[in-house]
Amino acid sequence: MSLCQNRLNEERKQWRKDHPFGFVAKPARLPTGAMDLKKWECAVPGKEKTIWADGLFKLEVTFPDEYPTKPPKCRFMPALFHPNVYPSGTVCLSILNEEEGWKPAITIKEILLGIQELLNEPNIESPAQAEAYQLFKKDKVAYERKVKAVVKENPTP
Amino acid sequence: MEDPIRNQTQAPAPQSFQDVEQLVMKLYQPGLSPQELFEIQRSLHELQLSEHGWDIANALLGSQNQTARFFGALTYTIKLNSVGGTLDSDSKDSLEKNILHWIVTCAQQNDHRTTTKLSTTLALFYLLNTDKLELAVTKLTLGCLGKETSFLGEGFKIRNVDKSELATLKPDFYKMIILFIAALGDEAGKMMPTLTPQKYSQLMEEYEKMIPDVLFLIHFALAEYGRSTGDVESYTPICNYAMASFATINHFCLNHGNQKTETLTSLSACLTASINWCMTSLAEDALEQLVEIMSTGSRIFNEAHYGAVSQLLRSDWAKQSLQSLQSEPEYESESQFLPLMLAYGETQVQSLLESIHDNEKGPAAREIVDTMQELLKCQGYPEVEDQVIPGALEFWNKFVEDIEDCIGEGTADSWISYAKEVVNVMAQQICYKIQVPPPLDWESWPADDKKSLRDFRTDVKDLLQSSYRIIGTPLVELFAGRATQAALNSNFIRVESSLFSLVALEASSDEHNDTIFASLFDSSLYSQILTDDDLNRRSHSTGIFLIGQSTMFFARNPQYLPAALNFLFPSLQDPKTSDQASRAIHSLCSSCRKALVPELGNFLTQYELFISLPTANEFAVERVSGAIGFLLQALPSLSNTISGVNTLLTYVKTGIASAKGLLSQGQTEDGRGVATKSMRCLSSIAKSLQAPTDENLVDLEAEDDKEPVIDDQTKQELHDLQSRIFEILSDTMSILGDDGDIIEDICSVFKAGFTEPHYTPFHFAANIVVQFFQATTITTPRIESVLRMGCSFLRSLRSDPETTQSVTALALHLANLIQQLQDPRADAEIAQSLLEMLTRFMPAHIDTLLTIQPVSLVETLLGFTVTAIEVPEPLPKRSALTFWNTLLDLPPSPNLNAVLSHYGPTLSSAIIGQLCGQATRVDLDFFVGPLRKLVRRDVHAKTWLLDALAQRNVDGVVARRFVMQLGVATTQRATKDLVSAFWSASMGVSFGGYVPQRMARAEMMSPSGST
Repeated sequence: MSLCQNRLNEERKQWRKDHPFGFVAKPARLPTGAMDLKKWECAVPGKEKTIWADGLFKLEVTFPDEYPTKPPKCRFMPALFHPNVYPSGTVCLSILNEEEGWKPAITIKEILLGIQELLNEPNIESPAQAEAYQLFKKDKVAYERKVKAVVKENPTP
Repeated sequence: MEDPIRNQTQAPAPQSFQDVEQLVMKLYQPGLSPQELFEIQRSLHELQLSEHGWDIANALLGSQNQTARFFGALTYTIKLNSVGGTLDSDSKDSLEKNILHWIVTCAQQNDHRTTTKLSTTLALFYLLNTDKLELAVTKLTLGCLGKETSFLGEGFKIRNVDKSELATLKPDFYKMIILFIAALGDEAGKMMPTLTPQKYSQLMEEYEKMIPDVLFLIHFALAEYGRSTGDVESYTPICNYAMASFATINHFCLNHGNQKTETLTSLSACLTASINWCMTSLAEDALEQLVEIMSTGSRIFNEAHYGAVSQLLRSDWAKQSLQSLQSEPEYESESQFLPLMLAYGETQVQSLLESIHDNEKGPAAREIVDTMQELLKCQGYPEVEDQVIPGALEFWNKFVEDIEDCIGEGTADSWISYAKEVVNVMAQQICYKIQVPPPLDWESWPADDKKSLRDFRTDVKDLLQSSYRIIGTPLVELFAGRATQAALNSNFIRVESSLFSLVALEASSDEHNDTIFASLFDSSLYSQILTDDDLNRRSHSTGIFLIGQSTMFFARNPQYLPAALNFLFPSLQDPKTSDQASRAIHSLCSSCRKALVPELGNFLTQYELFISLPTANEFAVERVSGAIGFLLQALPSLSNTISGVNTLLTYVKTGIASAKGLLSQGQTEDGRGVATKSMRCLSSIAKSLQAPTDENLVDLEAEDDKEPVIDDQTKQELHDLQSRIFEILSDTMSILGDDGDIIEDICSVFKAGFTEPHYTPFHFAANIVVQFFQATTITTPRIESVLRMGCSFLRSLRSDPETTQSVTALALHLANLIQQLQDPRADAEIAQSLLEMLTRFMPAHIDTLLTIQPVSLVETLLGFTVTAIEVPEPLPKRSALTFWNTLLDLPPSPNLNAVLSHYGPTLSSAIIGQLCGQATRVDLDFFVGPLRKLVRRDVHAKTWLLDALAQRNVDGVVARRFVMQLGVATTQRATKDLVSAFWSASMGVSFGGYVPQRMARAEMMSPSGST
């Protein structure tokens, strides 16, 4: 078994054993029923006491063959209104960037917790979509109103 | 400077060992003031670290007093930590001899505390002096046997000693040896992260040499003492410590060691002895270590080992543990039964299933699986009272995932029917465990408990979904049957958990389950849960969720839609369900629009009732309006669609009129709220009227695209409708043109029509869109959204004479906005949006853009794009570069050639200025395309670039080389490297020879290299 698969199996085991409340992370299944260990279906809840609370946001996490040397790609499905999320849904976060903060020791749990943190604390230095970025910068009240609408459309079940 | 406190309290320095001993005794006396304590500690610490430290340690260890002896051991540790790794050979020999002597002496004196401390001290000594590590346990064991180290012959190891001789050791001595082994593991673990790679591998190498002896001693302890019926009280700690040491060594060997066959055999033998000890003693400490060993890796386990663990899991101890867990779930934290079961399950699920039909192993496997089922039956609500279930869930998740893997890989065998049966029983039990308490109890629960149960239910969804993939339709049948039966018995808690389980399965999309869902939706269950009773509020809500999720079922079986809608519409009246009901109505109408067309009249009646309810908030109204929009889109006749939209517009218009009234009375907030709700409603209708993607395949470039034949009357109706819509939009603009949300909603109404064919309600004539655009200024709130809408509009326009006028008007207004903004830095976000819209004129409308009159406006537009390259703000800079990158890609034309001739020098100057150090590294990629295309596009480009480089005092040779290299760079990557190298040199990051002269001169003048 490759290093990538070994690591992902271990991640899966650790996640089953212990994962943060309200988060979801599991390998996707192919139509045949076989597991696709390199593609995970995840969901990140909005942090309590923030405007993102009560929302649950679905993500697809894709692991390259070189994982954990290279980081996975995280994509909100559907794309999310957030300054650091590209229109394609891809998350722009330093720990997911090979040339910035990625370290092979970073676990799926840490990635998802990092994304949860990012929801309420956007990094304004790295805008990824104009709509959310511009609103965040110019009209916080309207930005928050929009986020609340997004939360309403993606409620925690 | 002297320390005044010290001077006041300082005691005379100890003059003899007796003084030191007395000082140590004083340290442990009660009633010392903090200052006295501090002073004594400081004084002793200085002594410990002094050149007499070793002598003091020896003297104290020779004391008759236990406290003094312990302090002696402590002194050894402190001194070792200070200088222990820098000793010469003689000092090391002498130190080793001394510690070995004292450890044996203290053990003989039954001084357990000091002995334990010295075990750690000795471990530390060997780890700091790895050349002696190989014989560490051998020497200590020989010391305990009373043999001199001179007894050691060439290559002698303790594993060569006669076991009968080892058996003569007193239990306390053996315990001390085992403690020493454990300390070696623990101390090595602490030390490893601090070591250099070289020292780390040296330690690993020497540590590994010692392992056969260590395993020999561990095995001896577990085999001899573990089997002994003698002094059980003395032997038990030895065996427990031996297991802890074994767990550490096993972890080391399997994770760091080279795993020689000999080592693995020894580990396996120790494992046998360990399991035997666990079975004999049932000591929780030992079992905990066994769990740790099982979790480390399965490589040393053989069938016999697993067989023995299985036996343990079926023993009376296991049965008692299970019973205790079921009756008092808090017992979970005390017992190792569940962790052992989980560790066993982690590796043995498949093996358990494969042996189900085996005559010999089958009964044991079934018994284990049955026990795991039993773990789901502990009392209390999950996570709140029942703490066993998270662990049990871990096992079952693994169980179903392994089965799924086998099915996926095609290795599922005859055991599959048994596995399905087991999963089915588990799922039933889970369905019971997810029940939520009655409303009154629930309300009294603390928030954290509520959250725990909710999270448990979320976690369970995965398990149920996996179970469905294994079992299929029977599981749907089970839950649906359970729900209807429970409804008949008015057991709404059970109804809810069953419906929740059905939601979790996500099974309604599969047509094989249609009969089951048909009878569920056709049953009296839904009419029962619609009542206002608090008891079934949650099942009501979950029932709505199930309908909203079952759109594919309803699309296949539209005959069940009326009943579903009869359930959903009344649900809009309840504040607790209206949100979910509106969402479900929206989903159903989107998926089943054609089937629901006959219900349109009914929908409009319901809409009229709903719109005046307090539950009709902006979100719910938006969804229900959109839902009706779907039905209008599906109408076969455009005239009917227009009529339906007109009906809905009446509500929108009324809303805006009401907003106007409120605003005029000074009720600003309420007015804005009503207007926002109306505009959301309109925007939602517009979006719903878009043809579904599979129907909407308008090819903008197709020449033979014929417009549908529409009669004149319908054309007039459509014209009137659009005028009405535009009137509403203008009206809204006039009263709330300062509200960003309103502007955004208006934009979304327009945007919804851009991609639609002609002669559809929201596809406005280009001049209407332009008219709205022209009404905006740079101070219009969310002007960026208007500009983004402009981008979409330009993309949707064909390039033909009919649209030229509108495109020209757009370009003129854009130039007007740019003139209003003046400087890109005045508002970077607006500047970015302006530049993006300018880029959208390409390729189709570039000639229109470049020929607007007067010419000075073209200069305004293009001048803005060049200036924006030079601003420090990254977003306008990048958008400006993208503009030029796109422009330089266009095929040559007289207009374009003229632009390049005119702007080539200033563009070159702006780019070079940035590459000479003004841009940041992250911006560099955006320069590559324009620079590369410019050099290839225009013969004068090299001259422009050289001039720009000269303006910035870049050395002539360097400049020529850079431009020449740009010209011959064959790939994008090569240009990127050149740009990067040039920029780095300009920034002084590297010394590639590109440093502008001015910068180079300045650096020469500054001694620190800083300018």
